[in-house]
Amino acid sequence: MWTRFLLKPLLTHQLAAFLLLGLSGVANAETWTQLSPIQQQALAPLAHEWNALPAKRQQHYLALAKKYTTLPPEKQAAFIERLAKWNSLTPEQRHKAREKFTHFNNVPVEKKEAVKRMIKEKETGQNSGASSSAQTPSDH
Amino acid sequence: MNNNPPPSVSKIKNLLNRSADTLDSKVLTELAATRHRVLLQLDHIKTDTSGLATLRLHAVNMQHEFRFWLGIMIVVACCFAANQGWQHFNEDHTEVDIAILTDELPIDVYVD
Repeated sequence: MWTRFLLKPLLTHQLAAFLLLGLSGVANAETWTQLSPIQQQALAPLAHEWNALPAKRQQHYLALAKKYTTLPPEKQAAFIERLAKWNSLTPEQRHKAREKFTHFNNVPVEKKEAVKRMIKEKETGQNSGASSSAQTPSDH
Repeated sequence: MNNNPPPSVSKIKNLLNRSADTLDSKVLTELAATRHRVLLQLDHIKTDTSGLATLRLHAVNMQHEFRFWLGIMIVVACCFAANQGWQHFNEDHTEVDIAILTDELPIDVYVD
């Protein structure tokens, strides 16, 4: 009796309600040409693949672009430089990166600075090693 | 003990009709009047019953309508809650993502 009087009408009307609400989500997808100039500037590294992105990812990047406008110029440059790399990560990698970043932020400032210095020195050492091997003339 | 099967309905009817033919007119009139009264009472009960049935049908319809709107409200509430949760989730990620994208250290440091 409960199945007949409760579930059947509920299921029928729930389906209609879900369809309506679901369509509203689908309707949020935007093409590249629909973005404003500042949005296109912030999301320039994603221009060639923007239309293929799922609507939810687009909405997330548009939220990032909104924050982009509040950044100082040097951070805006860093944002654009790193966005393509960020987008190329898998969702699991992005999730891991967020976790690591959050944990790293909780480390005391002195330790954080020490780790940053270490990483930068390692990078500089790698860069100078690469440039010196490029400059070494061949024996033959 | 009588082991014969009970008489059928048509047989009983025939017996009653034959015995009714032997009754005098006064008894027949009384019987007819009683039958008429009983039939009237039955009609009255039927009307009452159909009234009750109509009321019951209305009650079921109202229950149906109530359950329909209750179901719609539950669905809308769930979707609203999910949307709020998604917005909160998204907002948290926005701040962290901006911080990672503008950090001094390369992204690989946080991925590897």
